[in-house]
Amino acid sequence: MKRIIATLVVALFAIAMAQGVTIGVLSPLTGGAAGTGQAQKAGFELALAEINAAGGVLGQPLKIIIEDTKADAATGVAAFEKLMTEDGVEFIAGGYSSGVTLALVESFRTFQPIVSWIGGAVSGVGIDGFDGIEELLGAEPWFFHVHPWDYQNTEASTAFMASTGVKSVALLHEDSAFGGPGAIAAAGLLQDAGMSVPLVEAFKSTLTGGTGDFRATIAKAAASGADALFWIGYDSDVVPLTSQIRELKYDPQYIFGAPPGWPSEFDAAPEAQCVTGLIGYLPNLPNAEAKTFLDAYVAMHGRAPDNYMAALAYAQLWSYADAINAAGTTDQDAVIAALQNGTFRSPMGAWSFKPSVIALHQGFGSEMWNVFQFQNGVREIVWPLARATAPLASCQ
Amino acid sequence: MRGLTRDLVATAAFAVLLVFLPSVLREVFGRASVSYLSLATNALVLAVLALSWDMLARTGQLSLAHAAFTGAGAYTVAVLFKLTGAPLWLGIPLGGLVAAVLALGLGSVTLRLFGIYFAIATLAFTEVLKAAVQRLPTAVAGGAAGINVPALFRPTFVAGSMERWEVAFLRNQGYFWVYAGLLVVAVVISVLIQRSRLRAAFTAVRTNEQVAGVMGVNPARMKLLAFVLSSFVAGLLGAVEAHRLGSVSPDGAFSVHTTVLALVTPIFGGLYTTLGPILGATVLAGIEETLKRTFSEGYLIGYGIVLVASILFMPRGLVGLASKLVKRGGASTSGRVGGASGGAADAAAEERA
Repeated sequence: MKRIIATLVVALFAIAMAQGVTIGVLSPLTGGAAGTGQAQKAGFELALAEINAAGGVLGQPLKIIIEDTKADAATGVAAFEKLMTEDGVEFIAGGYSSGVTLALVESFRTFQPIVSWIGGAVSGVGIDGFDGIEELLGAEPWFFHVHPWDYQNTEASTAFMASTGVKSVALLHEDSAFGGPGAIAAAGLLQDAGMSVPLVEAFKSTLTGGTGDFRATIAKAAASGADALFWIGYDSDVVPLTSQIRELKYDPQYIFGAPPGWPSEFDAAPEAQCVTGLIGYLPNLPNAEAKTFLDAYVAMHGRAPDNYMAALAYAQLWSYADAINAAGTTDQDAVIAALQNGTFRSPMGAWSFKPSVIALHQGFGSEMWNVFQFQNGVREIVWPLARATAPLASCQ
Repeated sequence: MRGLTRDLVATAAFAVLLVFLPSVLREVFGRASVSYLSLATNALVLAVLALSWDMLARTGQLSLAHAAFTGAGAYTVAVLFKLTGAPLWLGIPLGGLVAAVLALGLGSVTLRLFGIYFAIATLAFTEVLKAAVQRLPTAVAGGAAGINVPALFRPTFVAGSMERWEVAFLRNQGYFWVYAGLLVVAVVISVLIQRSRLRAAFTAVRTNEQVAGVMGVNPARMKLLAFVLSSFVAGLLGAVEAHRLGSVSPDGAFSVHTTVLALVTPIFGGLYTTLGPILGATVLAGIEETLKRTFSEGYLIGYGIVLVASILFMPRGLVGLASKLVKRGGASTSGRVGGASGGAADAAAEERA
């Protein structure tokens, strides 16, 4: 009898294994954040092809099911519940938008799959009376966060500013949950680093219904007499903001922007010259993985990645594949252990999950960030110096 | 009176159907019912949003302030809970009342405007309210990051006696019933309007304000009444949404996307009716989900084509189309041809729907 039961268990296990592993992905493929979602999708597709070419996961081809959240909270919850109850996935990847993530907290806690989450960077750390993603989910053993938290983004930005030697910084920020808390934190850190912040001014981003006329805000920055301009906004603000800076002949020593992504067509524009920005991945990073990723990405998609979310998605899917293969099973405890103990590949180099201020499992931190500068149509890395491809040039 | 009784009985039957729908879904689909219930809840939210917007549209006013009122409801519960820790359910009616009071104030100064001028004023109001909320002290309104809002339903997982999906089902069922209750409230208000002299008054104001005035209708009062009722329901909706989505932020709560949905859905379903916005919400949500599951890439193109085609070929929406089909069926069976007054009669019948 025992032999029959053992045989049955082995047979059932073999059947389960033969079905292969499926990872559910939540990403904003349409809507206001579609650029980010499509970049994530491109990164997942490349990683998936490579993983399966390398033998798949547990000897079977890995599968992913991508659900569109539209960066809408209610849609995101419905999409997650579909993945859990209709598709029966045990692993969740993707992730973007703090609003969507906050709406998913209750559902994540209910189902408790392993969630490896790229976006949702509003940590809540340093914001009184508001619980962000790190505070709500960071202590859950099944939650893994890939993208740096908002305070880690700000740490990198202010460290760069401090490295330039400027004495004063005018701070412009878009007025939503992205730019508002970021600007408060940045102003504090800049002052802690010995710089004065004579102006902190909010503007309405074109992404959230603004007209794209930033002239009044820029004029205030010019009047502040600050050595450098630091702005926090969205991708769609890049072109109007920098064009109007040139139009108004505002010439601070450095113009530094921190949008989630930079429009690729901006590189060759004359307004781009000397503008600096924060970015997670650039093809000209000096590490070999960056070049390998670029070549493979171009071969698959016919163009270079223009949003670092592609690199993060690629890194995330590979980390799942490597962890499940290392665990040799899809058992949750074993995969969690493999994720928290493993070192994974990425276009930015090797990375692993480690504790942050609250979270048990934080992937990339402030060290992920690079500052590039547009120099003659090329994004040259100017900070940190260890990765620099060219020296930082003043705009004056 | 007989029409009112019939409509209220139909509403009661609809309410009973909504009460039992979660159990039916669970019986038929098992664990997948969690997902279907979530989709049905989203359709209910859209129906309440659309029906509340249509109430004002019946007076001929095109409001672009619907997001302001859902946002006001959402922020009422969020601020109330943050500052006082008041019982969860208290904030919901208060959210409706705050939205209604705001509508009273806004309507008093803007409802003399017509058409596009009123629309622009209401759009500006949404932005002003959003900016005001953003500039309130962070200790009160949470600033740009927003405020956490506790869930209304938090069923406990009991290991060994239930599965995790059953917890999700219980939570979704709770929200489904709350939104169903809101929809029933909205339907009752709408039916009372449609089956009272208010319908004629609203229609008269919409058709020609001067003539309405001559007939003894006070256009300003009628529009204000419609605006307040419409905003009250929107405020209730926003309040419940804040609980379901776990947080409020200025961007999410006052999103122009909410206003666009509130406007498009009744146009698709059939303006100036009770049935139209509900039908529109159900069909639009169904079409979008079906397209999404069938064509994962570019499904919104198909969705857009459906909307454009409906505007071009169904000027009176789904209700108008259904009414036309019924009339054709009736004419072919009786062999009669509609008279000159047929179009007007059809429109009146549609409006009562």
